Amino acid sequence: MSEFNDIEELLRNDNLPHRYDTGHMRHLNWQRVLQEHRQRRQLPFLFRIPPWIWSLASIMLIIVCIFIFMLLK
Amino acid sequence: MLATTEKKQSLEQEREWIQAAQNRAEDFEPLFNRYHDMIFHYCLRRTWNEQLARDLTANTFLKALENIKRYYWQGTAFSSWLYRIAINEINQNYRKIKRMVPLSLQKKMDLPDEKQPDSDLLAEEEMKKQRDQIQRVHAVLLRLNSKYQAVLSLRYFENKSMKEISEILNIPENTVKTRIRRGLITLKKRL
Repeated sequence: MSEFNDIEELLRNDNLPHRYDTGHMRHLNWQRVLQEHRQRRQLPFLFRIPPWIWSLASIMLIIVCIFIFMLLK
Repeated sequence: MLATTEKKQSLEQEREWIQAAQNRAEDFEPLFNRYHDMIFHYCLRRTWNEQLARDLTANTFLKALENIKRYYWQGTAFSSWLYRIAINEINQNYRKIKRMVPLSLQKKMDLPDEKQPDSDLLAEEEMKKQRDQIQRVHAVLLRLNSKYQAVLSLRYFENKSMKEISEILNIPENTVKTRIRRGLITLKKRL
């Protein structure tokens, strides 16, 4: 893609800041991840159910309601 | 030959780490240590905001830890899987990132130093020009559609091959090439 050489060069030339103390940050982030993971594991069962299961359950409930309605009609 | 053997050993070790992490959350730490900086730098390049990049990195690893039991070896590298989670996290926060960009970009850009004692005036001017250009490219890049940002940053910042990008984003290689091309065209137009 020779027509984009100048932009490609600019993108490649761009350097990231090196002043970040990733060692310390890594340690802090690991503690944070582990703590949040433990907290989430302690949540009651209902709160741990993924949203797609709630959606599926709602759809099923609507279908059941329609079915009952048809039966009663 | 030696490099291939080393790579094989490293992959073997990584597989062991994954298996250990699948059984015990605390054993996720070696994987976290290996890939933390890679994901943090990727998030930093996508956001240019340190705090946000930290949060996104932590969320990426938290999601990886929660879903590691569902990760199984299928030719997809663990790093690609992590990149995919990070990209999803970034996409979910896209509006927030877009809002924060103009401010953070000015503060966090690490460009060549303004004062160069040995350089002459011409070189200094050249450097300033280059710095302005990089800054402009970044500002435009961060305003691009997220799908173009994802491919361009993986290609030019992370130096990933087309095949690797295709694996990370789970899209065909031709789509990657098209997105890179369209992204570059848009960048060029807006500059």
